[in-house]
Amino acid sequence: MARPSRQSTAALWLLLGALLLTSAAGLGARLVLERDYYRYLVVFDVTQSMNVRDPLPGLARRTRLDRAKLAAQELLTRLPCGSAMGVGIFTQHRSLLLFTPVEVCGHYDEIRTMLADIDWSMAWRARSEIAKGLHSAIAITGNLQPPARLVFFTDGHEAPPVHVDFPPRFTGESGKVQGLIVGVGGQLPLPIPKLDETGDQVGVWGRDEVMQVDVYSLGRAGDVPGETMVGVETGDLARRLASGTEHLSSLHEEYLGQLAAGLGLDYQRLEAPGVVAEVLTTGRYAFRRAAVHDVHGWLGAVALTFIVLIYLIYSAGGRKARRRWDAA
Amino acid sequence: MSFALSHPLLLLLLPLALLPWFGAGRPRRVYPALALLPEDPLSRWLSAAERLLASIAITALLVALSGPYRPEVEIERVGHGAQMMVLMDRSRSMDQPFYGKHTATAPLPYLGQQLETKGQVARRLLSEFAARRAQDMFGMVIFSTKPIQVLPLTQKPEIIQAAISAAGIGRGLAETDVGGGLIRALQFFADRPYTGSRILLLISDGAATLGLATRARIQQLAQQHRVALYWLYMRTRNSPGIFDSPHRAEDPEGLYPQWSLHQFFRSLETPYRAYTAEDPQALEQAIRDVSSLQNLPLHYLETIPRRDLHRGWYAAAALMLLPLTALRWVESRQ
Repeated sequence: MARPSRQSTAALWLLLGALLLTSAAGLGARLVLERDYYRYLVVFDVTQSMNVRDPLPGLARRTRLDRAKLAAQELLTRLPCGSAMGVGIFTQHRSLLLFTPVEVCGHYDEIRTMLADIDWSMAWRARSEIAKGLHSAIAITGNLQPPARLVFFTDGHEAPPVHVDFPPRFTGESGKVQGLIVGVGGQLPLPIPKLDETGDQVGVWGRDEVMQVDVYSLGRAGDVPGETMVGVETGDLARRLASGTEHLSSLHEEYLGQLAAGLGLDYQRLEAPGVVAEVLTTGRYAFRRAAVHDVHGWLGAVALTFIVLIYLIYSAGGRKARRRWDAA
Repeated sequence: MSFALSHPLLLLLLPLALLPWFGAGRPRRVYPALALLPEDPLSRWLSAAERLLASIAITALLVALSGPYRPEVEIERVGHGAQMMVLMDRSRSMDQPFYGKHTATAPLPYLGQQLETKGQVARRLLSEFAARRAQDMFGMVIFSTKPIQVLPLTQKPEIIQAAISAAGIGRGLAETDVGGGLIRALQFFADRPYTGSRILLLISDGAATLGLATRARIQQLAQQHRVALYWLYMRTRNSPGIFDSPHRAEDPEGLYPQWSLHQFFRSLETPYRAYTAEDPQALEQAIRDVSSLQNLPLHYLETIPRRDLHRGWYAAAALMLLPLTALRWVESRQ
């Protein structure tokens, strides 16, 4: 009997391959690969300076808080499924967690509604000690299980101001929690709207209604009314009080940059909403985990190619054989 | 039951199934005198069978590749759940230890004893409640100085638990304004379809005496939106409960604000129930009450997720390829 031809051996192998691939697909074979995903705790500064509407080129005159919310919405739409987002707010001297991160695709509507509902009236105090707020936001993020990264939207306007020599001390470990401080606002100092209970503007904060200098510079109260204790240089206090601009608010970019550097966070200015979303969906902040991929499409496609190849081989082999026969 | 394809265009390749019927489908053997070979019915039969098997295998593979699935369907179900707005106290006092009811026989707490805080007890009870009442919709407002809306009404257990556990991270806020919180939570029901019984669940350890205007507003809102009020009371150590009537007659409102709040709630024309957290039966009782009293049907959509059906088609293709491979193997050995 003739030895099996080369074509017939090849065809047999291809057939066997197709059988194995198809069986694997039928049994539900899956491939486990590493994949990027993100977990963010997004904290919004809801203090009154966030109600300023900065005239920024190319952007509608929305409040700073509204622009921060838009950026967060954009981030929510861009996060791949399996990522998670939680929300917190900052006011007074601390951040408050509203809900821990939940998966974004399964809870898209809920997170969207939540983001839309955030507004300045949630602020429980008219103070804005941003450094302390950041410290507590880092502590909250560090407490989250599984771990998450922090995104902190603020304009960097400390109220009352911070003394240069006595900044709030961070007791945590710098760089342990990764994240991004997003600076919201314009360079032009603008008056801060004063709103009533229902959110209508009733004026702006005046020069003498806000603290123009930090509490240290004002000095400690002494026994005698009107006298202050010595210890802190307050020589130019009168001048500073008179020329204070704390009732106007702009984006304190330099200050936020310093804070970020000291805390091991990154800083990014909020321009178009998409920019922040883009930075936050890069590998820098990604977590990796094994994800199951269904590869049946590949298995099936290769199996089909094999079967088609078999019939092509035969027709090619057939032509060759006929040519040989004709030549003989 | 419907059937759909993710990539229907792939079915344009279906003519490939005819491929086995063209050409010999096997290696040609060079044979000088075909006419001399005898007729072999078995070979003819086998050859047809092989072509048929290959055809079916190709068809099944193409169908599998085009991604057949049964689409997701939403089925409207009628349950007996409630729309429950949880109003949780986040004042600093909720961070204090929870001692339970003071009785003559209860052991005295000692220094250094690990006690759950009132907030922890509240969250544990609430979390259990939410897990057991999966058919209810939950929303959440937390309050201290200002009411803060945390969660819109939703039925998704994961985000409900996320909101409950978030209340456990970080210390509480400074003060308590029950009145503002109640008004905010009641307003939440405005302009929403009345698709199920409404409950406002207040979880708090203390009370403030409410002003007349606040009382009137609460009463009006509760009636307007038809909201029943449930109060899970977290007793402060050595404080009289809400059920004990005041011992001293003068100024009961100032001395026993929780009692006075309880009396106000009782005076509402809308249903009201109070539970005390130290009572181990309280949770069961609350769950029973929600199940039995709030018996209006709640309409909700249940989603039956999409199901992929490609595996069956691959299995069919494999079943065709198996005898085909066996036949070819036998042939090649001859």
